[in-house]
Amino acid sequence: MISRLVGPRLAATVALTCWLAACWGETLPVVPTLADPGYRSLTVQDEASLGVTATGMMTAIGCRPVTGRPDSTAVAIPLLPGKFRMYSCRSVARGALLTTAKAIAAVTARNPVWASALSGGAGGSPYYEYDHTECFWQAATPPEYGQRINEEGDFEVFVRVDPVPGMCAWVAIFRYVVPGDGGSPAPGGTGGPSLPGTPIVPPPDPMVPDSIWTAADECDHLVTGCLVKLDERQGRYFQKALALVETTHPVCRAALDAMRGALAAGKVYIGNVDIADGENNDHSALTDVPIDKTTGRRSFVSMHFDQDAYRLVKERGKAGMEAFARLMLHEGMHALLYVHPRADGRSPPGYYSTPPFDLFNPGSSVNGCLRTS
Amino acid sequence: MSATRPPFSLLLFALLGGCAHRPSPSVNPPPMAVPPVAMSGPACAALAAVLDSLAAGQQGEYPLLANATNAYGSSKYVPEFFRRVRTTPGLREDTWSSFLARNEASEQVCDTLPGHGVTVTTANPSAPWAAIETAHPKATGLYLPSSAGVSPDGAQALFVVRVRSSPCGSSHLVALVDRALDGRWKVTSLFDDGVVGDCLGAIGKPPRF
Repeated sequence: MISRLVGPRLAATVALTCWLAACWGETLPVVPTLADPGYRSLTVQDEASLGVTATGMMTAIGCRPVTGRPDSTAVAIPLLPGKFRMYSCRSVARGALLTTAKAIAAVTARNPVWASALSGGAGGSPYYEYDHTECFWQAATPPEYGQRINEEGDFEVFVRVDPVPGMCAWVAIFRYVVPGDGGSPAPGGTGGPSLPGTPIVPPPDPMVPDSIWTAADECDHLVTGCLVKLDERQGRYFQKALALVETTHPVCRAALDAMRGALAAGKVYIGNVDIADGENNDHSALTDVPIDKTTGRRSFVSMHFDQDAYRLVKERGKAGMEAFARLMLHEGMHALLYVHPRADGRSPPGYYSTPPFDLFNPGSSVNGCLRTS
Repeated sequence: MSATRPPFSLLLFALLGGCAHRPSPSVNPPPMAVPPVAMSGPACAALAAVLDSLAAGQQGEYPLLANATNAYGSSKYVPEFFRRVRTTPGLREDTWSSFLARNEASEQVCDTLPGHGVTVTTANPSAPWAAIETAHPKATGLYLPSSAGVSPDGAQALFVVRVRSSPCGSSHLVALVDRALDGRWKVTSLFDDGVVGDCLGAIGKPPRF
């Protein structure tokens, strides 16, 4: 009886492992749909939390990670090239196993750059910076490390510091940091997790988005002309910028409503092959308002924002957020089918003379669309 | 009973279909790469007809042409874009199929336009916009044609021409060309798809007037 079970299991292990290695080892990123398991984990940026992702997905279907020496029934899931994690999946339906393995493969393929190059194989990540220590209430010992989406919608990685089952478990929270921008200094100045104690929670700056461009980063890692549909978390930052809009002027209000409508309708994207890159301050956006060939009328289809602009929004703080809000209002008027000559906005860059777009110019005397305080 | 069941490994591969689902490699060439395939034959003749139509509708120099086609990989545009192109009046199904097939990779734009008699200037579409403007100060834009979708009988061709007219953003022209009984290519329809591009300018810095 045992041999009858072990044989097929072994075959399954070999087959699944070979298939995953052969078919997904060097594939291009595959964008899962919202319905796919692990979608929220696409922003995973370090090897440790990627392992947790895989474990979480495998656990959800009844598998458990193998500790110690794996036996012949273990299933190997490739996380990185040449690196596997073993799972025991007894009594797990084959369909569920295959679906989950595919989803994990999609997630690992989605993170091709950081895994091998940026972390240097050490398992650490230059993308994360210690932020604060926090108390998690846990009924049992929390995992050694993991990931979460916080209340602000930002992706965070945590590392267990002092577990107290049934009570409060202290964990160090690491926040995503855009590589190369210096980031904010870690509390205490050490850059590493502090000992448990009073949680150190820096006051949030609502004007400084800290991780809205995770998808945009992946755009940079892919090819010029990436196309990423705005996700819910990024959408919240767009809304945060729009909160700067003063709605007294009816045109401002109309533009704001149009932009919010576009966000709600899922018509906002990051990137497009036609958006020039950020060189020479030529950050740009596109709104697709095609002309119907039969009626000659325009209709609003989609809106695209340059991924490079988000980095400058981050660097410039509130000023960047204000500029981004103006750009969104501008695009909002396009969504309402207002257009301007193609040459407008070029001299100086970002300034438009065509009404109503002249309402959204920086420093405009009629710049009543943003709050002054 | 168990002896009649196929091994699980076979079931596994049957379920997965081997590697048939494996994503195809990227079709985007490096920015400065020279495409290995060149546009030729009726595609070049049809492109000449499109350029003539564009030149007739504008002042200044003859359209500045990119030296490589823009491969319209479907992953880089929203699906609505392709649906719109597909609904071009008069577009034949076999022409559309050819368009999709030919636009999987970039091609060199025709070296010569047969029977044209007009010198065509080309530029590298990957160059910074400032460099293009400096090198071609009289150009009204840079025209990046798609590869041509040509019907199997050689009687119809479809192009999408991306026009860069500023450093930020571009527009798309959709051109359907039919070959008349006398063998000449004539533009049946040529329309602006309607994308509006915008410059943002330097964030947080006042401009220098």
